[in-house]
Amino acid sequence: MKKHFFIIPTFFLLLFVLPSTIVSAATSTTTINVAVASVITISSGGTLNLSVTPSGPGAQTVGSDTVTISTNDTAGYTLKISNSSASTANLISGSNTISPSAGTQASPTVPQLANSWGYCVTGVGGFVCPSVASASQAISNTYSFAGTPLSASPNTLKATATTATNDTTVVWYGVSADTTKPSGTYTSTVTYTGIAN
Amino acid sequence: MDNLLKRKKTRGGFFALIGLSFLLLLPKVYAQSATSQQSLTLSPTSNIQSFDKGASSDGTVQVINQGSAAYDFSVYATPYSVSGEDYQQDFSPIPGAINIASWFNFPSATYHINPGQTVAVPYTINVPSTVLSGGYYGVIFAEIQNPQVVNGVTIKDRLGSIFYLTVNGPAVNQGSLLSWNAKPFQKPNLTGYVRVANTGTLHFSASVNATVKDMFGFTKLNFSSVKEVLPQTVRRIPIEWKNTPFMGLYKINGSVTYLGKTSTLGTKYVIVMSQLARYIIGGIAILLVLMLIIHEIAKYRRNKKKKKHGPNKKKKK
Repeated sequence: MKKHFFIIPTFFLLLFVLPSTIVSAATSTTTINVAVASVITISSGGTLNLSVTPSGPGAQTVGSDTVTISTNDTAGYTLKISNSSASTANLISGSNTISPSAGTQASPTVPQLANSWGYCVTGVGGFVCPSVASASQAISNTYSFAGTPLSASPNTLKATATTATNDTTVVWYGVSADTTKPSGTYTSTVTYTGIAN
Repeated sequence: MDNLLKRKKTRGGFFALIGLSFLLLLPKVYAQSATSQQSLTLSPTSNIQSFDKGASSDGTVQVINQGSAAYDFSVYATPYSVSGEDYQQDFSPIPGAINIASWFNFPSATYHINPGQTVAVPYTINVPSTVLSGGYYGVIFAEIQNPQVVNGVTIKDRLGSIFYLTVNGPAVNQGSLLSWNAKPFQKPNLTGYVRVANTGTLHFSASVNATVKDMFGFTKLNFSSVKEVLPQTVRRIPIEWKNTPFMGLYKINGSVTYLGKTSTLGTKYVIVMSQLARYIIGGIAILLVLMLIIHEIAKYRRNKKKKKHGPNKKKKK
């Protein structure tokens, strides 16, 4: 009988201790550290073809390109625009050129002068931009354009405070030509820069 | 009756055809718009690294093509500096200052990337042994090389990854929270600004956390942003609530953590009112004032009449 005296308390002890051991094993914690890398994405049309049929006082063609930026960086991002060239922002066709609008982002030119080209972004600086593309119309007395700055001093189009998902910026381009401008294919290259803040 | 059934069947078929056409056309429209866009992704957006003088380090930045067209891209480094409290970024060399672009080396200047592909671009940073200790800043750019268009504007997209480099040695880590401001009357978007000064010789991170609550205590925005503050600069860090409702009264609380210390941002109350809401409230206010004026004029005239007719009435009695 004495031999069996400890069996009952031992049974109860095991009854309480074992499950608690099992439970404590089940609830042991594992810390999982996940490093999510910061990324930034930019997308745009890549090219913008603008054709203008000149008229005596000057005809204007406007078209747009949409830049979309996403970033998971909580610092936000800055979008800048500049001409890709460090020395000239002209549209060039051999020895012929169409010069950049004399206006700046803060004080854009309106109306756009004949034989010039520039950009316009709604809500930025002093711009008043078109809302629809048009070809070879009379030069607008409303829409204002600035010349693209040289590569060393890009203009800021947008600066955000935190993360962004598919944040779009519509950049309008306008080119005006009168009949004194020799026909030809005029080209220039613009760079959009996206960078975290 | 048969005619009616036939008509219904014809109408049903017609609408089904239109529905089917929509189903068939819509994916085509989306597919077309997707193919016209090129896409460039860069990771990480910034790097923070420490070096001993004369040391070097290898690393990679990831370039991803999430678009539907293959393209070539170039990689290169530039210096990085800022101006003004809004941190206008500049990538041009500063006369007289060290241009750390020369510290970066790439085995290749151009790469080709296919849709859906990730390219790890290797780089080596070589820190000269003669350089002084402190903070140095640069950017690695990845830039799409689009072929020149025949007529018009060729567009190049480029993304930058900022490098915050510390050259080990004697340094001063010092900064302070200069101010925290949110104007009491604002138009959407609701915005506040925190100004943090770095008076040391090394950059540091400033982590801004803020909560915007409405007048019932419901949280409308949890804002969080981490920004690097460069030596000898003041950085104005915006706290912005995108798509703020056109009208409301809000309470902003928050904190800024930098250099191991946390400063509490005192509570600010902000009334947000869009231009339209201002016009409506202004209109109502003007209307109320006009009604009050009319009421007062009417009251004045009534009293005048009473005064005029009062003695006559007495005379009649």
